[in-house]
Amino acid sequence: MSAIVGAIAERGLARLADFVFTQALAGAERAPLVAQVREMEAAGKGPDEITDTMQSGRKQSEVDAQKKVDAAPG
Amino acid sequence: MKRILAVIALAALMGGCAVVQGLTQPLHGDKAVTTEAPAVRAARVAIDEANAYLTALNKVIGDNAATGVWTKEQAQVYLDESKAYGKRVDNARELLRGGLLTDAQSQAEVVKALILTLHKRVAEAARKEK
Repeated sequence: MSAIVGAIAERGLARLADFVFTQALAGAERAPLVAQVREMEAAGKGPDEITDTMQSGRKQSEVDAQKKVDAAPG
Repeated sequence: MKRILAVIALAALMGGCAVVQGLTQPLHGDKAVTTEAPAVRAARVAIDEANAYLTALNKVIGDNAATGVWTKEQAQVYLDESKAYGKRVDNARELLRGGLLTDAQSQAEVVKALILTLHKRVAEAARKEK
């Protein structure tokens, strides 16, 4: 009985860990992008320019990530 | 059990203020130039948010590959999925340019939900490998 309860508790904690980890990863990497958009808005940049910047930033991040993956050990 | 608690504690510490800043704040602030119609604005915000989530995800994928958390093959699978979502976001942008606002927004929202699911899978995989 206690083993079952323990297993359920461990599974719940594992899910919580995934959730917290996801939030940490997403939040830490997203924060600079939020700052960048806010700066552009404060500088009076138009919405199209901001969307262009976000889109090209994403495309560059694909290129950067691909370089890192290519360089990673098999 | 102890390992899981340690991961939670580590993730909470790692995230800290960045989580609060990165996740609780919308991408766009109140200083935005808001001459756009609400429907255009809603579609654009969804597209920008999707691009931001993908950029963050690609950084995590690249770093996990570079630091050896994943093998090259594992990282490539996630990166390919991320790139496919990126193409769908580009498609939503084209719909926005073409004036198909509802389609653009709904497409961006669907992709955003898929990206967040991928975020969760990436985090789960990284936790298991650490």
